[in-house]
Amino acid sequence: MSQRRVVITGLGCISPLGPDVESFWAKARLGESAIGPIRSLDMSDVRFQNGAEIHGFVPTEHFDEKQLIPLDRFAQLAVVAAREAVRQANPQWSDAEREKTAVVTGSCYGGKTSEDEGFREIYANPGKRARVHPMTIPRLMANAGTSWIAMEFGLQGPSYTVSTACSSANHAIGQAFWLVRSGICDLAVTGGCEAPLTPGSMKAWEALRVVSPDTCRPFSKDRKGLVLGEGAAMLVLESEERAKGRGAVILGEIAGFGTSADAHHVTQPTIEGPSLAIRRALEDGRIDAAAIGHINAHGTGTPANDPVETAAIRRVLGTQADYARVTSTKSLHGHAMGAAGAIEAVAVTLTLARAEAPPTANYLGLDPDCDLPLILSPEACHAEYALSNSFAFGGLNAVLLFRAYRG
Amino acid sequence: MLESMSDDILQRVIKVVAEAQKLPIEKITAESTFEELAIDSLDGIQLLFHLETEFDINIPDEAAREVRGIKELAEGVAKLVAQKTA
Repeated sequence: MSQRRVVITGLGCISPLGPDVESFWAKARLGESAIGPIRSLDMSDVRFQNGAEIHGFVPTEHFDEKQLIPLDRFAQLAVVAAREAVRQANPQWSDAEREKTAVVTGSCYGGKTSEDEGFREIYANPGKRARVHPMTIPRLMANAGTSWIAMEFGLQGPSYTVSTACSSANHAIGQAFWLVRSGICDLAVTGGCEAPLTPGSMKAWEALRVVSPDTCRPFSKDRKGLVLGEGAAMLVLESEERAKGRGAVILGEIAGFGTSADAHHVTQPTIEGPSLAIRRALEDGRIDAAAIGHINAHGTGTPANDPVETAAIRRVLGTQADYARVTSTKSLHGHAMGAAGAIEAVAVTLTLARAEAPPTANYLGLDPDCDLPLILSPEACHAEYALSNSFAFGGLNAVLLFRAYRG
Repeated sequence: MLESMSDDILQRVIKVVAEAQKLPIEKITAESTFEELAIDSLDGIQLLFHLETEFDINIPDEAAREVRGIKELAEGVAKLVAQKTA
C-alpha cells in the first residue's frame, strides 16, 4: 500500500546566523560561523567564554508589551519562527483543518531565563518573603512554545512538546511527520525552540566539562567540545495531496523517521543506539542506505560524540559512508539544544532544494576516528535523500530522513 | 468603607492598574469594573503581585478571589495596609 507523502511548505528560523531563513542561509551556505564571545551574560566566572547568541533581537518589534509578560525568550523565538513558516506556507486553513493541524515542538529547558531570574532572589534571601513574578510558571513551562503557536494560529489538533535534550526537535518533527503521514492530521507546525544562555546553565555546562574553550570543531582533530547556542526553527508539514491541491510551493519532503534509546549510559554514547535510529529512519522511508547522498550530522564537536557518530554512520551506510557528504552546521549556529534538530532541518531542506551544501567550519585536520567525507567548503549537492541526526544525553536518538522534492 | 479609605490609596491603586494594564490613567475610576477594563484572571494575579509590591502587603488568595472592580480592590488594599500599621 502506498503511504501518504508529507511535504514541507513553510520554513521559519531565528538563529545566531540571522533573524530569518534567508539570512540564516546566506551565512550557512558559505560556512560563516556565528560563534563568538557571549555578550549577554557576565562570563568572568565561567571557564568558557564563547557561544552562539542571537544579537539584535528586540522582542517589542514582534509582540506588544502586554503579550510579552507571559513569554519567556524561548517562547518568543518559537512564535517568531512559526510566524515566518506559516507566512511562507500560507496554509489557507478552514476551521475543520485547524482542528486537524498538529503543533509539536521540542525544547530541552523550557523557560530557563525566567526560572533563573525568578528563583535567584528566593535562594539569595531565604525567609525574607521574596516573591517570584506570577507569570513564572506560564513562562517556564516547556510546552509554552507549542501553546503560543497554537493560540497564535487557532490550531486545535494534537499539540504537545517533546523534551529529549539535544534530540528534542528531531523527535518533535518526527512525531509531527508521523501524525500527518498516518492521516491523523493534515498539517503540522513543528520544530524546536531554546534559549539556554543563563548564568545557571552556563555554570552547569561548565561543570559537565563538555564545552569547548574556543570553538566548535566537528569531526576535527583537536576538537574540544560543543559550543552552546540558542534559537528556534519551525516547519509547516502538509500532506502532499493537500499541498498540491492548493498549488502550494513545495520546499521538500520528510520521508522517514527513526528513533531509539541507547539504554546504556547517561552521557557516554554507544554506536548501537544511533545505528538503530539511522537504520529505522531508512526502513521507515523504505529506502536503501545507498540512496543517502548527504548527512547533516549531530556533530557536536565533543571528543565523545563524533567518533561514535562516525562509527554509527559507517555501520549502517557501509560503503555508502564514503560517498554521502557530511556536514555539521553546529559549527556555524552552535548547539541550540532542543532547537538544534529544527535549525538543522531548515539547513537540510535548503541543501536539497537549492542543491548546495553548507560546510563544516573550524576544521583543523583529520582525526582518523572521524574519517567521514566532510564538506569543508561550499559545494554543490545533488543528493536526493539526506539524513539529519540528533543524539541526546540520556542516550535518546532521533534521525530524520529528508528527500528533495521533485514532484 | 470608601469614605474612610484615603484617596491616596485609591489613586495609587489606579496608578498600579494603569501601569500594569497599559491603560491611560484617566480611563480608570473607582467605579470601573475589571470587566470594563478587560482585566482577565491572568491580569488579575499580576495586579495583585504589583499591589503587594507597591503597598508592601500580603494579599490572601481568598480575599483576592472576591474582587471584581477598582473600588473593592482599593478597599481591600486599604484594609490590609491598616492591619499592617495597626
